[in-house]
Amino acid sequence: MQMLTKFESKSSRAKGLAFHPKRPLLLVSMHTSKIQLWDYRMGTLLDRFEEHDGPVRGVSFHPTQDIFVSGSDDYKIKVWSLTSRKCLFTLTGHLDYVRTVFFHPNLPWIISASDDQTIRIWNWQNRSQIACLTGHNHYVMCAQFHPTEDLVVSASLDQTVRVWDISGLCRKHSAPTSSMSFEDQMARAAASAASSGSGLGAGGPNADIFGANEAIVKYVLEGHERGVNWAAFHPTMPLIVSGGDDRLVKLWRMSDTRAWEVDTCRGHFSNVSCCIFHPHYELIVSVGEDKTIRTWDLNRRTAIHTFRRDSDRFWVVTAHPTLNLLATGHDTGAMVFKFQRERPAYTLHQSWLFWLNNEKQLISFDFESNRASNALLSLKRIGASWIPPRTLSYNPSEKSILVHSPIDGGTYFLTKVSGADGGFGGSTIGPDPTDISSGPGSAAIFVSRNRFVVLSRDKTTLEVKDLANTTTKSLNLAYDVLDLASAGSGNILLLCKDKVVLFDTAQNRDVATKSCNKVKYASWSPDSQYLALLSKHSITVVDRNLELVAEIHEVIRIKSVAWDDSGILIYTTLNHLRFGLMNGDKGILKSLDDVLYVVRSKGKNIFCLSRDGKVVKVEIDPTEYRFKNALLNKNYTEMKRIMENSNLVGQSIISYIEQKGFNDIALQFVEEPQVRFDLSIKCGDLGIAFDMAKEIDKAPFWKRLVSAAEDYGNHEIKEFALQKLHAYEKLSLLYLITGNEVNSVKMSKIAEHRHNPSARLQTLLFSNNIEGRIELLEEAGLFSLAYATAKTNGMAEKANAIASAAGLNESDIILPVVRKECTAPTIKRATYKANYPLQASKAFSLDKTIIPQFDNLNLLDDSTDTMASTKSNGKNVGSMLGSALADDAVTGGEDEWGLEEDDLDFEEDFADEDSVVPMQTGVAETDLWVRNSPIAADHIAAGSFESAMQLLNRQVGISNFEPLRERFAEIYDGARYEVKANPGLPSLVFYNRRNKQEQDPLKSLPHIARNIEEITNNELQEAYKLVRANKLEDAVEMFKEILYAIVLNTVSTKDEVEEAQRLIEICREYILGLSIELERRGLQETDLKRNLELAAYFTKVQLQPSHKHIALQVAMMQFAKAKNFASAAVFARKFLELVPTGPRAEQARKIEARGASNPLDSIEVDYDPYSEFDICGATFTPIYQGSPSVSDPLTGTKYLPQFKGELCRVSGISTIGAPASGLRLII
Amino acid sequence: MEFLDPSGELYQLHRDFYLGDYNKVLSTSPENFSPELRELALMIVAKARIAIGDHVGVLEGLQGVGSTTLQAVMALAQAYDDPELAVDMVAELAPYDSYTAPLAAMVLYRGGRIEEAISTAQAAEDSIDAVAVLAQILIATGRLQEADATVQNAKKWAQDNIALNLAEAWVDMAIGGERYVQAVYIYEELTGNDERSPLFQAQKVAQVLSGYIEPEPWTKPSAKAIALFNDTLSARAA
Repeated sequence: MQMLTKFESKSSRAKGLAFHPKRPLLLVSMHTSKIQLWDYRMGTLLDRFEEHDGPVRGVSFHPTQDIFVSGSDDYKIKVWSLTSRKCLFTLTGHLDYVRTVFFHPNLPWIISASDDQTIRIWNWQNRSQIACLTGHNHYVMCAQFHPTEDLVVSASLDQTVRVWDISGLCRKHSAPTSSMSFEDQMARAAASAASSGSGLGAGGPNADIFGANEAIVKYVLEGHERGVNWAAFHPTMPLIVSGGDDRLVKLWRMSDTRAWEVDTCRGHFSNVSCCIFHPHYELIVSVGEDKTIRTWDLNRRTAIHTFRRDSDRFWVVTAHPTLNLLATGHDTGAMVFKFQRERPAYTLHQSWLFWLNNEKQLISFDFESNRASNALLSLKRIGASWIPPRTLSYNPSEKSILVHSPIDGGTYFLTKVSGADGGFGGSTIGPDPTDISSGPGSAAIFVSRNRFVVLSRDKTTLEVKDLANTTTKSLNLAYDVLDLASAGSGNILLLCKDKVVLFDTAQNRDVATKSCNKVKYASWSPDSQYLALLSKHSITVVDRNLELVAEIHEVIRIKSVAWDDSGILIYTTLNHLRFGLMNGDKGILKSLDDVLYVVRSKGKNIFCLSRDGKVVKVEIDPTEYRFKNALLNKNYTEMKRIMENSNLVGQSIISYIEQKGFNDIALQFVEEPQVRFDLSIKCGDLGIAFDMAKEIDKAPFWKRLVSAAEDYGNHEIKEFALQKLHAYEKLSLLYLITGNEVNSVKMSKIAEHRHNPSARLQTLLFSNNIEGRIELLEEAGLFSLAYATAKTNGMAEKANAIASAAGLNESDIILPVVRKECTAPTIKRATYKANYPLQASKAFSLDKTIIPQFDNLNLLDDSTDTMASTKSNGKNVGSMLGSALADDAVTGGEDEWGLEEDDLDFEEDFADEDSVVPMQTGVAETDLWVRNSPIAADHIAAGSFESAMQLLNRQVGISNFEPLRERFAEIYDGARYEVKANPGLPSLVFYNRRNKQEQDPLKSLPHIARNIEEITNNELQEAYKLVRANKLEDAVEMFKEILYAIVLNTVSTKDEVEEAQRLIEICREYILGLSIELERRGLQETDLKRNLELAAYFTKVQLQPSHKHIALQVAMMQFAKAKNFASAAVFARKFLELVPTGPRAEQARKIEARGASNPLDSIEVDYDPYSEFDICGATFTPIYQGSPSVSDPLTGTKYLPQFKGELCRVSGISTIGAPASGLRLII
Repeated sequence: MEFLDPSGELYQLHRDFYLGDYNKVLSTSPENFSPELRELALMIVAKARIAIGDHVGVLEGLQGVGSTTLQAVMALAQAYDDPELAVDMVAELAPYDSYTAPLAAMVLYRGGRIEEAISTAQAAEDSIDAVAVLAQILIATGRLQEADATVQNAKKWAQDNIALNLAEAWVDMAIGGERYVQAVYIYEELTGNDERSPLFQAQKVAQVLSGYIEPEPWTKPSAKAIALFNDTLSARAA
């Protein structure tokens, strides 16, 4: 028997455990009062529940609802919501430690066992106790409901195990029948009154008024010689198992009338803490303080196996309600394990699957006909029921099977399968095989038609045997082999710890070796060309010579692998059915609830074996992986076929294609215009980009199109886009540089229409139209400029005319010196007529072979198409710009600059350069923190103390950082760990992140020591304790420390921001209040007036309800002593509201009465109980509403105006009245 | 080519060295190795001596050796006292072979010649030690992608080797996210969950980073944090 550990947690002592019935969750309740919630499959701690005071010994999930229950040494039973992760309510009643808590399997009940010697049953729906079972006369250590019957079993330190009959209770609380008589109702009411009281009403325990018992002791099982720690029912048989401090595990049987001891299991050498029946095998599992887990044969009561742990005592063991998993809790944590592997032994032969089911019957399944056979053979007699066979090997020519089982350190069995009809005629039970030959070995497998190979138990020798089980050859191995796998005739695969060897048994030599860690299984592709080697977390694909082809890694354990007909891997992990391609790409096909072992993939059907030994057919959509595989193999015909026939369009596949560099193919799948636009820009398909831009018709897209068109030299599209953008200046320039004179002139006309003289001037400059410019200047009344323009351009007459018309004196105008006559440049090439190809579309980077296939898909950047669309759209532009342009739509010229063959080489160079991944320059993670976060704590963690201080100063006016020294260091140290890496180099620093799940290292954020929740649960409670203990100086220090820990922190939700703000306010009130009280205590006795004032002010601060009365009591007593009876009475009244009973209340009543009879104050103090005021944090004097004040930006403490600029007395770090933007704790 | 001998003689020594079991390494006598491996054994022993802080002993012990490998070890020992001198020492050993290159890279790194250190380690294409050194330097300089690529490349040609496993774990811990778990697995495998293993501390760090266990409560400020705090305060005052 072996123990297969699935999960281990490290923590303090685990006392209680519970499996979630459906999800992979485990509750661990601990001696330190915490409860942890683990995902045992992923190994992650999901949550912690910390509301109990003292060890939590019992915890249990509800079988169907999303709740769980816990019981603790604080006498409380708490019911929690798994959804909100909050405590829903608390059941109180027990008067001592609660040992165990369990839910009823179908009624809304909880059963609890306690050191107060009682067992109580509670209704968690109406949150009341419905029964109290008394009778044990020592601690009750455990009490559980029977899974199906109305019984309870309990174990107690009084050395007995008791079985209780609760059928009366069940009847009473089941739904009332319609024919209920009045008497019945009376009886019911009276009974529930009795039981909801102490449970010990008249008529004895648990008796209703007619004396009928709701819960009666049915059997008292005596036999243990010391206290009994645990007792449990068998799930189906009338059996009970118990374990106690006498180190014994006892088995009891019960009938309807009596119960008796069956046997005792001896072996533990210290107290047995817990014991259960294994839900699937005929086993008893017990754990004890002797640091062992022991298994016992239920039928023979003999010890089977002992699992020892070095230093941890075991406290509890529990079984999963449905899965074959056990969990146990010990001194340093909890573990989840199972005893046997659950992978059925199976083998494939052509279209047949052979496997051994849970009854150890050999079954075959035909994939062609989708039919399973009856049992061909029963191997039930081989080994104990809890030892399933490990492997199965089938020899079709002799119809023999070879089964390997872990029995006795490894044994193989060889037998013939009877029934030549393929077994379909066999019986449902299957015949026992007539002749079985067997032998020792740690693995066995058929290697040829008439030979099989056995690996010796010491794993160093291979024995080749014939079907008569005679050794024909013995081969010594140079290395240790763990397991064998088939590899065609004559060859086998030797699976070693760190390698896989292809071994030729005939020649006794290694044919090939592949280093690979702990391969457990191997699967050949249908054509036997490839081999998938399965390890715990990876699949290594190799070819026939064991040369590496691909590797697939998974975080979650991989359970099985098989091949699709087209060479795709189909594999299962703990929770997914997945596929893998030969390039290492992988994807999810389906989520699985239970573990499945995939055996064959056929079209849309994946055949799997389940753990309970049945063939399960899973239907999937293979389109995705087929397409990806086609893409990988550049099988464009197949791709085209899939594209035409399937609905493949999904974001993930598009991004996959994109990621692989096939933007142009991705383009074929997208319909969404924006994505299409992005993709077409990326692959340089301006035609599509242009169409999409027209469809979207938004400025940002036109802008991007402009720059893309520039890159590709496509000025036609650019022109259109500029027109759309109304970018007239840019348009003018474009016309200028492309030599489009006609449109240049038109631009000037448009500018005239728009009444935009400066644009007009610009266009006139561009078109070198001197007359136009002079005219414009004249129109604008700039006669001097008009004159100068005319004069310098040699139009003296015109100049004179302007001068005389405007009455200008020519000598007043200073003309620029023109050294040389300027001639306007002439147009050398009519660029505007056709596009200038700077860079061609990347669509050409695809294999040319694909192009004809895609012609109907409009893949190519077809320049004539683009032109046509531009042309046709020119009309729209025309209407926009006015009729002037309408007739002059852009015309397509002859394609003299079109693409030529030799451009292609150039293009390919481009593509290559593009595919080079740019070198990533190093960025320190701490720099990222500073960059990613505006929170001071994150800057501290990054070691950027200066910027953190600036932030703190800006946010909450902190100017004195000295008190924050420790907190700075705590955060800084808590965010980094030094690990010795290469000896010879300085240690490597690793950074502790708070967003551990974030996959992108660039988004890293630091872990900040002590979060708000921890501070609330630990430091704050500590501070309250100090207040209660009257250690006020210490309390003030503690509250300051809390304040600092909150100011330098981060939170993740808005609620937590409020929570932090609330904590800051609590700190402020307590620091202020306690400082006032400390000041009062330090006064001279003669200073009576000040004494009374401070006592009164102390009552004004907002303490927690449980502390508020302290301040009121101080004030009440001080005022009464000073004969200020009127005010004393006010305090007394408030005090009585909080504390209505007890000796102090008596005193308060007296004072109140005294005040009523003598409503006078003998000393006048500066205190008005009826008006609102704040208290100055420096002087401890009132600041009435409306009076001037300044406040502290951090805590909000109010001060008299003269304290502005001083250090806040409450926080000790912030400057009173400093400008502040507010504390930032959330990103 | 793989680092180290095909016969496996040095395998355990090399492994012990990376496992941090320096006492075991130091108790090995290089004389017991076959002559052609003796020098390499001596190199590992000397590196272990440096690792336990006795670089002075190495400088004295190797005085006047002829082999370039051992001279490179001496340079590394020298780098603890006088990095500049050490850089000069390794400069004379160029061009480097698979044994001297990782040592030279460490010396260069310690001397602040980071880019040179990287190119030196990169040049030693067949040395797992160089891969480990390169991975660490790249991580320390924040070039995680390159570090990752280095290790992944090495996995293609190198046998599964402890130095490579460790380098992979470092990269995993630096990149984080779903990679943390891998680092935990690697360390678990190397330490066998044995608290006495010198790598156990690193395993705990990986577990904390991955969120598998809670960090231990902070008790006292590190000298570095306090120095940083004091420096910042005095800079503000100035």
